[in-house]
Amino acid sequence: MSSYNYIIKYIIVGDSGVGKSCLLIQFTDKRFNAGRELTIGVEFGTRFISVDDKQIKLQIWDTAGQESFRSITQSYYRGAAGALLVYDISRRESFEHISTWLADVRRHANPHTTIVLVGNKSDLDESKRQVTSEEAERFAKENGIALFLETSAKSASNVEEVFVKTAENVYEKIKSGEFTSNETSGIRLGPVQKSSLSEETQGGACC
Amino acid sequence: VFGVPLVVSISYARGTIGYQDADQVNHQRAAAIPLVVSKCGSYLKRNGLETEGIFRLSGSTKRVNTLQQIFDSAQDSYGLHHTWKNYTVHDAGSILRRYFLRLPDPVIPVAFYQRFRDVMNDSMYDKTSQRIDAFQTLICQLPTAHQHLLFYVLDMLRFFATNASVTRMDAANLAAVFSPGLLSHPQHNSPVQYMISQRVIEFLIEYQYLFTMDL
Repeated sequence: MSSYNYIIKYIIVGDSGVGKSCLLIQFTDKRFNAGRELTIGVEFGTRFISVDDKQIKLQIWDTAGQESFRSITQSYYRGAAGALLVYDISRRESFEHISTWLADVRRHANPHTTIVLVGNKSDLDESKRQVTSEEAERFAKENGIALFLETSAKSASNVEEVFVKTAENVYEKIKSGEFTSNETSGIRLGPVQKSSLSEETQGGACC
Repeated sequence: VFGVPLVVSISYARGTIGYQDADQVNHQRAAAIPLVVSKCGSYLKRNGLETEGIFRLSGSTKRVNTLQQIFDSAQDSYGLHHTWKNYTVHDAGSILRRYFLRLPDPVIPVAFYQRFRDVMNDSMYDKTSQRIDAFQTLICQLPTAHQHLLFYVLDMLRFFATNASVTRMDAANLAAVFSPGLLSHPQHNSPVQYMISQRVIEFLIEYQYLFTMDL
């Protein structure tokens, strides 16, 4: 499937071990592998989805959560149209660190980037939960985060939704002209869109 | 201590390491390593050996920052009496990794960076035993303080790697986590470069028991 209207770039960030790579693999390959290795630097995956009858190619950059890799991962923030901030609902610290990740995204990514808060590992027993969904919901609201969802990369619950809803939000911004199709905003027109290049308001996005 | 050259900080904030030789003779105070490393190392070996994701999961940023202040402060004797009360093994793992990461010259100094990597890449070393000999030669040339610290770290990591069935941190994973602080170069910032360093460190962890050092 090589005909698509848009390429949208996502970035996934969050503490080490919260399940960023597992979310990506569940979304792109529909499988779960708990024993997967540590991400070094940056890895990426792609999948096609359709929003509003438009074919969209999602290009998803999965980053290493470790402090040690911060210097390489930061350079990948640029040009992300969507940013997934992931924490583990059974590890309070990973939620507390979200504000640091958010600051990172705001500093390095495009100001129009759609930011989404993701509480992963919702399959775990309620007794292991350390962050309530109400609290996370409130945090999202207070910090101007567009969307909050709890997911399970293991059971696949809400995984599809996270990626698709983010794309819908980005697509809305494209339609409203908030996003323009160029490198810095993380959206590029796909091959079939050649005839409608007029939509591309080059240089419209100012830093 | 943090961001200070190894030889400088061990002049005022050091711990000592000892070992038992083949004749069961104890050699105490055989070498000096940074106090922060010995404090974290002994705590982690006692408490972190059964922890899944040890060294992979991060501690609390707030507590890790407090730890950095303690290990950096002359008033606190650079953490000499720190007890780890109210801290977790992940806090200890994080501060240890941060210490290595902030070293102005990594544990394997930049001057040796390429030579260590060449041993892993060069086709002239095609047998494991040849690689071990080549690494041994390089290790002997390292400045003493770096040599001792490298040995201490590799010994600790090998100890953890033997418990990978519980911690899920095998030599490859441990190497991925530690290579930025052990074998890195300021101009090499791409994932590909990290991979090469990771393979070197993994090899060194795996065969740590075959290397010797001068004490």
